Amino acid sequence: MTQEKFADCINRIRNKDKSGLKDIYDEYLGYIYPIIYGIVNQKENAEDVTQDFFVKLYSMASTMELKDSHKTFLATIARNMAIDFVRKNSRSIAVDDFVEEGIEPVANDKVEETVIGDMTVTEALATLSEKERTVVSMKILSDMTFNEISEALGIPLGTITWRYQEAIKKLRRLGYE
Amino acid sequence: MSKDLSKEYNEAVRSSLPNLWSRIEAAIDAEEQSEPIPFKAEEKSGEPVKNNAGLKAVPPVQKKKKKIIPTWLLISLPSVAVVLIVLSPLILFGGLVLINGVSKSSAPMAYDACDAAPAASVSKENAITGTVNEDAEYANAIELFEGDYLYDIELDDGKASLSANVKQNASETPDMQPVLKRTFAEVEIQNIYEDEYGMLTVTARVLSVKEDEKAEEDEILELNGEDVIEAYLYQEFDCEEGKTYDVIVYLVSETDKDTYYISSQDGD
Repeated sequence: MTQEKFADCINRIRNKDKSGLKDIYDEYLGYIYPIIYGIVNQKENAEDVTQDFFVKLYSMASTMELKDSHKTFLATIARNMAIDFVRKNSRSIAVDDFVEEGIEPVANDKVEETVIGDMTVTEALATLSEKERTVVSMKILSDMTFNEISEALGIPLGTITWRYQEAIKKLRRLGYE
Repeated sequence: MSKDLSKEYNEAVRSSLPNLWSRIEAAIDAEEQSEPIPFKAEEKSGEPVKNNAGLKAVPPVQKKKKKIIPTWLLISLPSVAVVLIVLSPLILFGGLVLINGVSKSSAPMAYDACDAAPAASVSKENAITGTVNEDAEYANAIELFEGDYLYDIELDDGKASLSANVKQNASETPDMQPVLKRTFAEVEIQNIYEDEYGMLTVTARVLSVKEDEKAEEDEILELNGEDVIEAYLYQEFDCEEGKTYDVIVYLVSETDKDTYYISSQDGD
């Protein structure tokens, strides 16, 4: 979406025309949802935060200053909302469900026994621990730095990088670079 | 053939995007209906304002709060005042005695592990021994260590081993005992610097690998002499569990980008 088209959408929202938001939703759901999912790491919560994101975008349109790069601007808002959610719910979030139903997590010591190369990405991710998967998701889907992940989860930087290295090492064994 | 993790993961998530539009629309409608009605308009026009449901909006009524002083308090106040006047010299004198006595006592202070953790993490008693070759940027390293870092470098003559020997100041942190003492490879330190994540990184050339470590860690078998490695050194303190649980040293081969590591204690 061009900057002009985005500005047009925002103007329509300012006039209480929801079609402006619908156009942004259609264009950017595929961009925003993975960012949020990468941070909250749970489908229902990711959907809730994504919904809140678009509602917030609608309500803040009247005071919004249009930036040069609206895409980055949207990503920043989405990321901050997801991080806030994680911080508020850090004790109760269950990391789960990108792993498809019916795929049992593979124990770490059995990784070597699995057929390397035949795994889908979901199966490969199922071999990781929840903590490792969270870091990988935040890093890959949400494009966060290790420092940002550390701050978001309230976990020391060393632990974050350690988990990421462990996860990447396991995934490499399964053919993922 | 290797697969692109980032690309496939993104594609997989995007292929299962939820349809949230109806929920978003409903949430916006609900939010708009619940917006507060401007009662000032009613005051000016004299016409009652109606909300979306067609009902007359009623502004909230603010009740004045009365301050009630209970009778028992009124009756007891004079007697409380008399008691305070009589006792105040005793309280004052007693307080001075306490200040001069107890505060100078040698009774041990309660130790708060979490409060002490930051101090412990910058303890200069932590030490790593190693060898620095002549070309190493040793001056920079010393600056790093004298700044914010956990570790000290002790130089030995000749070739020595790179080992992490973490010692805590027992008087400051009595529950933090040495948690790592491991020698894993004969190395020659080439450089010490702060990486992009603010972590201490030691670049070193492997001279030989310890045989006993070979037996314990399969990954070390793949570490060969003349490899240039990076060692990341961490120490972590878990405030919730109240203990130091995680000192990790791992090695990254720069030649083939495979990761080798040794974990001394992992709290997970």
